[in-house]
Amino acid sequence: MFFTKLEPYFVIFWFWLLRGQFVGRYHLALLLVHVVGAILLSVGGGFVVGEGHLGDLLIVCAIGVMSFSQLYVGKLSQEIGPAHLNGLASFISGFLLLPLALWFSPAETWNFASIGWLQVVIVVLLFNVFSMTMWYAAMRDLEAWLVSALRAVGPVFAAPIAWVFFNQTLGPIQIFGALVVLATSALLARDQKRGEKKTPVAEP
Amino acid sequence: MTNPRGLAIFLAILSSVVSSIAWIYQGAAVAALTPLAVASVQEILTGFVYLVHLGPRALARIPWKAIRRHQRELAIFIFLRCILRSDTCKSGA
Repeated sequence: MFFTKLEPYFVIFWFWLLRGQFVGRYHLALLLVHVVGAILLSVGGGFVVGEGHLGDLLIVCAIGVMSFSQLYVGKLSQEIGPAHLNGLASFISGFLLLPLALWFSPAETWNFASIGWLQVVIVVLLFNVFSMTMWYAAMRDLEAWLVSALRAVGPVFAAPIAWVFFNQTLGPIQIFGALVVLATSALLARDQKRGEKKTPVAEP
Repeated sequence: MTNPRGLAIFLAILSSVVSSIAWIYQGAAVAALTPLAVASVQEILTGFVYLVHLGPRALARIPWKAIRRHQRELAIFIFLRCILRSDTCKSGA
């Protein structure tokens, strides 16, 4: 899962390649420390190479696609509005995927009494409705790479919830990673909150 | 939080916290069903929730002029979103 933490770098790469925008050295270095912290928080030092290569490859593809889509999200969110953008894009992409889902899924999948469908409804409310709308709204006023970087903070705050409801705890390395993520996020956010003076993405 | 950038930072972090919790449920849903079924129904339900939220005059409220102006960007974004959704659900399996 540590590949998912590289998303801010993918975003910076796409913006550099297609928009000619670049990020200052100070923020690149700070982002590197931030990503290392996020990786430590995610895997807790348990780096296993050679297992689940297909899953890793799919995650890399997904992160590449997600970061590429951010080229369009900021502009569309400003023009159309985050709620309308999320709703319309979801509705259309859902109907585009449905024929494939019907073709490739076994018949028993479509038994709507299954607990899996209740979990899908919970995901829709938490992720698609609340989280994505807040994400798109954030991108109206922040650079895409920074929004990606700040998403690493989520697991830190979700950890107590995972502990209470799922009895999952963080190890010492993960706690260290969480502290690094919090500290670097605070530094990145402080620079951005102060205004445009030190804005890291600029035309060359 | 009156600073719009400060509010945006708060929203980005809150979005991340909520999505971290949602991912726990998404993993369970994909394990019980199939990645593509979860991806497609999840997207349709999301669109439906938004239409309900916008109310009976939803179609009138949709900014069609802005959409027409940015239809190319929107098409690319939707295409990427299809790939992303099926891909993340598949990797979650």
